[in-house]
Amino acid sequence: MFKKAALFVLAAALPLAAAEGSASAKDLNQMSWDEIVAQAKQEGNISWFQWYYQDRLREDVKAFETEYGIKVTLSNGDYKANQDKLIAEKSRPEGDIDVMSIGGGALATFKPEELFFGPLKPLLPEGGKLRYNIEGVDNKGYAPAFWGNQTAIAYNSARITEAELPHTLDDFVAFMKKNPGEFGFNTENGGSGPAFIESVARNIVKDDDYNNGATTPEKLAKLAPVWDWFKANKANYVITASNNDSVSRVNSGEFKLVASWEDLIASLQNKGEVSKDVKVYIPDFGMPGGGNVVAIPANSKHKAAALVFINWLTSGKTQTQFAKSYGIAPQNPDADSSAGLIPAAQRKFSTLWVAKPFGDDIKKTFVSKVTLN
Amino acid sequence: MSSRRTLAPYLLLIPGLAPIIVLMTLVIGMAVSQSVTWTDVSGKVSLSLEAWRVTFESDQFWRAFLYSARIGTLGAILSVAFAYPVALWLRRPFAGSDLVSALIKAPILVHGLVAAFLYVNFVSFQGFLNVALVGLGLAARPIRMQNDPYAIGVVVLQVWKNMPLAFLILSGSVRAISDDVLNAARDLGAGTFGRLRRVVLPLTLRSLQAALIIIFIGAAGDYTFQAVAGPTSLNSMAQFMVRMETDNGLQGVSLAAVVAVMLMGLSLCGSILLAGLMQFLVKRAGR
Amino acid sequence: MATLFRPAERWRNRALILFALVLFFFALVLPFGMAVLWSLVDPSHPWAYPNVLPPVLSFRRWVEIWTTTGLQQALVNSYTVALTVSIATILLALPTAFAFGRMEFRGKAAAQVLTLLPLAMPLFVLAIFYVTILSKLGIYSRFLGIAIGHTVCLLPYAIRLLTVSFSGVRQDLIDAARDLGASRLTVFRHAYLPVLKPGLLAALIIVFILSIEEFAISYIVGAPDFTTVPTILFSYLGYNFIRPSAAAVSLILVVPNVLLMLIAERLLKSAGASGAAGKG
Repeated sequence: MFKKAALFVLAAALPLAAAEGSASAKDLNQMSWDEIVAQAKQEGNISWFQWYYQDRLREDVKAFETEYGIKVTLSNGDYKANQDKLIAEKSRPEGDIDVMSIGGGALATFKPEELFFGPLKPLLPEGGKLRYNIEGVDNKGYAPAFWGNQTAIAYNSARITEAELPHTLDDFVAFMKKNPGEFGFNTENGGSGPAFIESVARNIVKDDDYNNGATTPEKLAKLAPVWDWFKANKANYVITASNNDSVSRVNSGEFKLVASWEDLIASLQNKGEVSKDVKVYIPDFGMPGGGNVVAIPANSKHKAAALVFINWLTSGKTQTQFAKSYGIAPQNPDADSSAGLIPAAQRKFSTLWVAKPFGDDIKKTFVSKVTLN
Repeated sequence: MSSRRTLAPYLLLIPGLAPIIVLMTLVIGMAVSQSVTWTDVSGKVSLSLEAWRVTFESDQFWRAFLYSARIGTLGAILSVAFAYPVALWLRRPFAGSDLVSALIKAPILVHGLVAAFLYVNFVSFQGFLNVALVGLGLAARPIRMQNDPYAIGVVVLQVWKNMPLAFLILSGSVRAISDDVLNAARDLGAGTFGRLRRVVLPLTLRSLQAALIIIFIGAAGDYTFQAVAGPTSLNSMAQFMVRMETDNGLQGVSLAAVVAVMLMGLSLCGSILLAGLMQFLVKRAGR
Repeated sequence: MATLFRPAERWRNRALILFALVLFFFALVLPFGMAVLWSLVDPSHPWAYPNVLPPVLSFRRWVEIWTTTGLQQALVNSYTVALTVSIATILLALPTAFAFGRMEFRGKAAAQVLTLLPLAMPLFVLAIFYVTILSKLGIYSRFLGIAIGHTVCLLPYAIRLLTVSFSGVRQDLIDAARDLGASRLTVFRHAYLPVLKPGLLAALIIVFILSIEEFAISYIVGAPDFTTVPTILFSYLGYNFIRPSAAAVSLILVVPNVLLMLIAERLLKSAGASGAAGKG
């Protein structure tokens, strides 16, 4: 009986394991948009590798699924795992990823033309309107932006008044001295803490080459005063476990201030997870803002469907809806702009992210020189 | 015919034993061989002890090593120390003893990650502990206990999760001691404590060692408790290994392999030391 | 038996039982109560400073978690892997356990120690290098990768449990059946099966549960898109940390395991009983 059952399970599992390939008979470049849509419907499904809000986006993509009859599967992986998979799979003739979300700046770390299908700009009906130059990286039309966002400092207005907020680096030092353990930021699981670290670095060591992604030992060595600054204040701030951990702890009143994302706070408030008492601002020394892009891996099995999906995702309608529910900066000029949580006067403090991979190395060096020391 | 007879047991061993030996050999071989290769900046792979040198010179590595050794030792010793008296107490059944042993075993049914979540939730700012402390007037403001720097949370979790395991292992051997042996000891004039030292401890030595070893290996190789409830300023060996692999590009695998080999070494040496220590203590007590 | 206890001892036992109950309350009932409370926080009314208790309770979050987190897919993945693993493990363990339980041969003790090897291997070490091996072999199916990994790591449990069962089979019954000219099948049905059955089922269930609970291999091999229940929970405790949702997922993870484990324990008890009878 067991043997039978085992055989049955194997028989059921094997076809799942093998890829169900579908060769596109005709080159997508020569198809009209209607033909692409028809081909997309034939392909029938895509898997979208997205690293945040998968649960809520599963609800949002239902509109797309009913409109086109194409099923969207969202993976649950984190950013790093998704990117590792993209790289690991690049030599396979057919990969598992159809639509890949990625931070705009990360495209500086590899060549889009080698990894991705495209450029998408001429293929998408609204391709000309979309944004391909984001976080200081021009991806040459391979990956349109679908999510604009801004890092910020979030504060719990039930515990600290607007007048008490620190705006300069000296204010922060004074604030931390006066309120030890009331400011938190993460180093793992999300970019808001690393954004704060970058901002401090930019302001303490002004002459490092932050817009050039290349890392050299000399460039890292120059940042020594930054690590000294963090070490000197180490007793007075707290390292949290993730973006979300920071938010839930500022929400519970444990912290007065945390590093965070404008869109994260907005969307959690819209959802009701976070109290309206939590507010955000950008300090005068600036915090980076940017966005995320989507692309189609060169070895995707469902390129037409992926294209139709990206067209839906970046459309004015979807972007307007995202602005409303997630508080993002919409990336289609036809979309209604988000109201946003950050006071308009502070938008000018938004800076570029430090170019990658140098930006990633700043975070890694912080972890080894400050947190683990 | 007789050669078939003698061969038969070995042939029967193949399906169960061969997969284990093949996979373990591959994994250990892979770890050791990766640890002695090094990829330089140009992508050239060569045989080298560079990864070992880099790792051994890193303070962080040694702190992770000592940290995991400490968590493993504390977790194993505390779990066994709590489980042993309970196992002795429940040796002979009495009204309610079944209930108690069921209660003790309950944490086994709870996944480690769930336990970690329950703990973090319990000690968080809005958690029960803080609400109670403030409510009873013992604290003016909630106290920050999440991810505490002394890893008290991790040790609490290790003990919470492993004490029932130690209890299971120990209670079997405690129950196996026959009343005749104990009565004989009593007739020879041994008191309660004397019987414990001279009869019970030596007869349960093997399972004490087994419990210590199993818990030590699990706790020293821990990733999830550390990632969820551990201090943010320290890495456990497993965490350090994963971080080495992901943060170091081409050299990542070699560095992670060194940490892996050291973690296996720690598991082995720690087990031997703990087992040896237990044997020494039990022998001393028996004198 | 109770008469054997002196009154003082009885009081001591009662006090200790009370102490155990209090401890149990603080170590399990209360944390789980907190989790239940958090999971019932209404999604549109945050539980925030300075509220000591959640303002509005509802079951909406449970419905949301069930429909939007991918938990259903994770459950399907976890359970198909666990089913495959438990059957494969038992099939592989049976012959070896038979050899350990019913035969004497040179090197038996050493072989038994060798079967315990996976228990001595830190699972994250295993997982990381196992992935490298898989990619070198060109095995891209995460299902297969996790299933093979789990099978090997859980073999020690199955072998151990089945060895005990096999050694409980009474030789005199086998001999008697053979003397009466019973066929192999009849011998198996009447002498082996009654003793083996509870152990077999218990091994099946225990391997099944351990496979569902296993995190390191599922996490490293399955990343990023083949999710099992523990990997979803891990993401809810890390990157996607939303406390009320994590509470709901935790509770969903615990319930089926508790039920299965209770069944396994009952089976093991009866296996122990028949095993003991076999020795008589």
